[in-house]
Amino acid sequence: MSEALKVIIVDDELPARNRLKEVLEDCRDKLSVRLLAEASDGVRAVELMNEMAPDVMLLDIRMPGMDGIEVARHAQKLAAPPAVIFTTAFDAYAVKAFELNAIDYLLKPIRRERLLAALQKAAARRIGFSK
Amino acid sequence: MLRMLLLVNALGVLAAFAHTPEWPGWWNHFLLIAAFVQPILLLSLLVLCGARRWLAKLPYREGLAVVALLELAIAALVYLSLKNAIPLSELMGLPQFLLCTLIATCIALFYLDLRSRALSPAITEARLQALQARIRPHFLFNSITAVLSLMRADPKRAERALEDLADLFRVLMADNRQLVPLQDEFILCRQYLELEQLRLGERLRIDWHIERMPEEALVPPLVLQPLLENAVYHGIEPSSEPGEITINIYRNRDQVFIVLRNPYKGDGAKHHSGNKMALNNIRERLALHFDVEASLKTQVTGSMYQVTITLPYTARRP
Repeated sequence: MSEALKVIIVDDELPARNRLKEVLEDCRDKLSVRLLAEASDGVRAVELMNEMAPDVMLLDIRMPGMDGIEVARHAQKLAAPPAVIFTTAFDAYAVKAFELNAIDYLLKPIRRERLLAALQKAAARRIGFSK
Repeated sequence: MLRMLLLVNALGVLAAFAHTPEWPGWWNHFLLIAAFVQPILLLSLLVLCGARRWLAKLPYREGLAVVALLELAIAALVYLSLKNAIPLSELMGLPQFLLCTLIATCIALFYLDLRSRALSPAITEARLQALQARIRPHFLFNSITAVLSLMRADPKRAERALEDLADLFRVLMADNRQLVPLQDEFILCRQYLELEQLRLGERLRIDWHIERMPEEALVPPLVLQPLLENAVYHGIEPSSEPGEITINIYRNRDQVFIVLRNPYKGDGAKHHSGNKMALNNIRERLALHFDVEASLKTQVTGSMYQVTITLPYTARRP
C-alpha cells in the first residue's frame, strides 16, 4: 500500500465527529488512512479543503449555515477534487448526493465495514487518477 | 358547553333577523332577545348541571322530553319575571316566546345528537390512534450515533442516554389515547432534551419556568415533546450559535398554560411542512379531548417563535 489516504471529517455535531474518528481508527488495520483535520461547519470545510488537499472528505449533509451539498459543489470546482463521502442520519438526500458525484453515501450510525468499503473505493479512484 | 352558548346566541341573531330584516332594527331586536336569552341559558346551565345525574338514568327519549319541559319552564319563568323590565312583549307574546324556546331546544338537542354520533367513542379512539405523534427519524439515528460516541469514552453516560432513549420510545410507541399527568410529560421532555443536549452541547440552552406548574393536571400525552422537537429542529439546529428554548408552564384558575419560545430565523417555507404537521396533530388531539375549551396558537415576534397551548384544568379523568 502506498501513501496513507488523507481524510477530513465535517460534521456540526461533536459526538458524530468523535464517533467517526473511532470508526476511522478501527479501519486502520485494513487500510492506511490519516485524519488531517475536522470541521464543524461548511465554511471551515471549504477552507480546509483548499489548504490541505485531502483525498477524502467525510461530509455531513444537514449543517447550519453552508450545508454539505453546498460544500460538495465547491469541491467539484477544484482541479483535483477530494472524493466526497456523504454521511447523514436520514435517507432523504440520496438523489441529490449522487448528482454531485459523491463516491458513497453512508447512513448514521456508520458501521466500520461500510466506511471501510467507501474508503477503499476512494483509494481505488486515487490510484486511477495517478495513472 | 361553550358551543351551546354560541349556538343559541346565533339562533337569537337569526330570530331577530327574521323579525326585522333591515340592518338598524335587527341589532336592537337582537339585544332585546339576548337580554331574555342569557338568563335562560345560565339558568338552564345550572338546572341541567344539577339534574345531570338524575337525567342520565332516564331512557334517552324520556330524557329529551324532560329537558324540553325544563327549558320551557325556565323560559316561562324568565319571560314573566322580565316582562315589565324589558319591552319584549311588544315583539312577541308568551306562547310565541315558548315556541321559539322549544325550537331552539330541539335544534340544540339535535345538534348534540349529531355531534355525539360523529364523535362516538369508537371514532374518537380511532382518530386518536391515527394521530399518534411521530418522532423524526433523523433524531433517532443522530441520538444513536451520539450514544455510540460515548460507549468507549464515557460508558456511564452512554448507559443513561440509552435509558432515556428507551423511556422516550416507550411513550412514543405506547397507546396514547388516555390523558396523563403533566408531570409525566414534563419528565419525558426533560429526558428528550437531555438526549438533544448530548448531540448539540453548548448550542442548546433550556430555560424551564415550572414553579407554578400543576403537576397533577391531565394533558394529552406528547402534547409538549413534539413542540420541543420542532423548536430544536427549526430554532437551534439551523444556527451554529447557541440558542435558548424557554418553556413556561402555569395554572391560572381553571386553565393550564404551556408557553414555548425559541429563536426563529425567517427562512421561508423550507422547513414548515413538518412543523405544521406536528402543530395540526396536537391541535386535533386537543380538540378531541377538550373540544373548544383548549387551543394552540403560534406567534412570531421579531426573531422569536412562540407557541401557546391553553387547556382546561382537570385533575381527574373526566
